[in-house]
Amino acid sequence: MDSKTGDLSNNLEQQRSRTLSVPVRNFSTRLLLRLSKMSIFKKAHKSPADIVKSLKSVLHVLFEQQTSGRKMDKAFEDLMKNLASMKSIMCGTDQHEPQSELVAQLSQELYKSEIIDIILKNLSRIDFEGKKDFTQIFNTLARRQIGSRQPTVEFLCKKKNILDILVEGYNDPDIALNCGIMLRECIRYESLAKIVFESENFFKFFEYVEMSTFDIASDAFATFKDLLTRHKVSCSEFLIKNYDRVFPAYTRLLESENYVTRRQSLKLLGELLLDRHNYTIMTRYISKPENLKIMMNNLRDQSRNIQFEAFHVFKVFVANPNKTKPILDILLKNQQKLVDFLSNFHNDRSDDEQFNEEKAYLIKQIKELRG
Amino acid sequence: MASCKDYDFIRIVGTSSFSSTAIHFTKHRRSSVTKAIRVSDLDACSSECVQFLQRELWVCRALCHPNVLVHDIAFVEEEKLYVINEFMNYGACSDVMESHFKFGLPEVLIAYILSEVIHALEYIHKLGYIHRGVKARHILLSSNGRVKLSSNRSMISMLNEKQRRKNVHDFPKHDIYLLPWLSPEILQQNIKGYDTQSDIYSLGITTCELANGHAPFTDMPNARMLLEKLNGTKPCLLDQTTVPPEPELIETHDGQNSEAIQQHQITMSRTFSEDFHQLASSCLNVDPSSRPTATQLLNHPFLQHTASGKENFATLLLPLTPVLPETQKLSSPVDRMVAEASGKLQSLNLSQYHWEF
Repeated sequence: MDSKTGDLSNNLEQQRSRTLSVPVRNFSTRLLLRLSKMSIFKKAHKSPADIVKSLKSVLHVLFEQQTSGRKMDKAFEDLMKNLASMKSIMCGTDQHEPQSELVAQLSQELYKSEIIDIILKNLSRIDFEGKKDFTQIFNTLARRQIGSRQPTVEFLCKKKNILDILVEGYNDPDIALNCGIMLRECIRYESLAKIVFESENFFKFFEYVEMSTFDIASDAFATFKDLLTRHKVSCSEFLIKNYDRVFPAYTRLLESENYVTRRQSLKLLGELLLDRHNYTIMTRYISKPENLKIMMNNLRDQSRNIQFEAFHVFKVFVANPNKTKPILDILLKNQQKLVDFLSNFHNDRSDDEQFNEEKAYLIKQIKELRG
Repeated sequence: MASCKDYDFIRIVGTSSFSSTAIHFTKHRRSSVTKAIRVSDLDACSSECVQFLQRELWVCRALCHPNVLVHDIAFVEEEKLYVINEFMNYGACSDVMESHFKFGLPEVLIAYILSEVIHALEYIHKLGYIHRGVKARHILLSSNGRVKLSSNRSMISMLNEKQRRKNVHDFPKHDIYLLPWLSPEILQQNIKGYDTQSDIYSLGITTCELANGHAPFTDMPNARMLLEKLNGTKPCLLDQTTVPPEPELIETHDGQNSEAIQQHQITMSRTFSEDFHQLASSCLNVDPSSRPTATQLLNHPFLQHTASGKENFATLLLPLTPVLPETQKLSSPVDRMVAEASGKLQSLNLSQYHWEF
C-alpha cells in the first residue's frame, strides 16, 4: 500500500520536474498536485492512527465547540469520510478483505481514545448512513478475537458507561434500532450481559418493550429475550436473586394492553419456566395462586394465540407433583369446568401431536385430583 | 401517539393471504393526507409469521432512498398491526396493467420506471441486501412520476457475523407467487448459492412483464417453469421481431379467443427498440456473472433517455388517472356489516367459562 502512495508521488515529482521546463502546463500540474493532497488520492492510504487523530479533532469541533455554519458542515463531511475509511479498514470492501494488521492498529487506537463514547453520545446528530456505518464498525470491533482473548469485550467491561449509553438509546427513536443492534452484539458475551443484569439497565426493558412504536418495541423485546435466554447460568442466578422485583414487573407485561407484548411475554415465560436451568424459579412461580389465576384467565382470552401460549404455562401448574394447597384448591374448585373446557380446547390442532398428548395428560391429571 | 382512529378507512386496495393482511386506502382525519395502511391480523398469524413481519420493519429501518418504500410508522392496536405508508396513487404497475395496459406499457414509460427501480436496486445491493421480490406488483407509481420499490419482506442480508458473504443459500419460502420471477440459481438451491445478481434476473422477468402485459412462466406449472429456467429458456419482449405471424389464429375467429387475437394483433403491430431487447436479454442470462450489475445497467443505452418518460408520465398513463380521496366514497354499508359481524363472532368465543378463585 505504501509503495503505491510512493509511486504516485514519484510520478507527480517526475511530472513536476518535467513540467517545470514547460511553464505553459504549470497551472494544470499545480492543480494535480493540489488534488493529490485531497482525499480522493489519500483516502485509502490513511493510516489508522491518522484516521483516529483526524476524528478526534473533527469530533472536538462538532460536539465540544460552539461552531456553526460552514465550519460545521465541513466537519460533518469530514466525520463521514473518516467513518467510511474506518469501515473499509474494519469490514473490508467489495474488492478487499480486511487486513488484520490494520484492523489491529485501528482497534488499539480506538481503545486508547474516547472516540466510541463521544460518537455514541452524539449518535442522533450523525446522518442516516453515518449511523449505520458506525454500527457496523462497532459490531465488527466487538467481535474481535485474538486467540482466546476478546480485547473489545475486555475494553467494554472496563468502560461500563458504553453499555449504559446503548441501553439509554432506546429512548431516542432516531437511534433506537442502531443501539439495539450494537447492544445485542455486546450481550452475546456473558461478561457484558452480566453488566447489564447488575445495573438498573435490565429493568428499563420492561418499559421499552411496551413502547408505542412497534419497530422499537419489538427490537427491545428481542434484546430482552436475548438477555433472558442466552446465558442460562448467569440469567438464572440473576432471576433467583431478583425474583421479587423481576416477576411483578413481568406480570405487568402479561397483563399489558398491547397484544404483541402479551403474546410474546407469555411465550417467553413458557420457555423460561420449562428450561431446566430455571428449575428453582419455576417451582417458586408455580407455587403462587396469583400466577395460576393469570394463566387460567388467559386460557379463555379471546385471542387464540394467547390461549395457546397460556396453555403451555398452565400445564406446568397441573403437571407439578407437589402442588401447594392454594393451587390445588383452585384446580379442585374448577375441576369439572376445566375438564370440559380442555376437552373442547383447540380441537382443530389435530396435527400437533405433542399438544394433543399434553392436553390428554392434563385432562387425566385434573380428573384424578383429590382434595 | 398514532392511532388507527386518526384515519378514515376508505377502501381496501390490496390483500395478502399470508399474514392475513389488507392494504387500506385511508385519509388522515386532521391533515387530509392520504395514506396506505397495511393492516395485519396478528392473531391469525403464527409466531413465525409475526417474527417475519417484525423483521420486515427492521430491514426497512435500515433503508433510506427515494425509490424505496419505507413505512412512516408502525403500531399495534387490539390484535392488529398497522403499518402506515405513503399512498402511491396510481397503485402498482400490475394494477395499472390490469386496468388499462393489458398488453404492456409504452416503451418510454418502461425505460423511466426501470431506471428508477434500478436506482433502488443499486442502493439495496450496495448495502449488502438482496431484494428477492422484484416484480410489477411491487413497483408502485405515484403522481409526478414517483416510482418506488416496495415489499422489502423477502429481503436478505449478505452481511453475516464477520464480513460480507460471497453468496447466500436461504430460500424465500413465504411467497410462492414469487416463483416465476426468481432466478434459476435461487430455485436450484445448490451449493453455489446466489447473490445480488439474482435480483437482476428478476428485473429481466419484470421487464418482460411490463412490456408484454404478463410475466413469462406464469402460465405453466412450477415444475415446468423450473425446468425451462434451468435449461436456459430465455423469455423475450414480444413484438413483430420476436413473434412469428400466425395467420390461422386470425382466421379461426371465435369469441373465446378474442383476447389472444387482440394480443397477437398488438404484438404484430409494435417493434421495441434494439436497446430494449438487449437490456432484457442481458438481464436474463442464466449465468449470473454474465448479467450486468445494477450500476452497469444505469449506463445502458436504453436507460439514457428517460426524461420523456418522466415528463409525460401522467399523459402516458392516460386514460388512467391517480386515485384522489374526493372521488372515493366511504366503505359500503355491506363492508361495515361484515366488519361488525366478525367483531361480534370474536367476542362470542368461549365466554361460557367463568373460573372460580
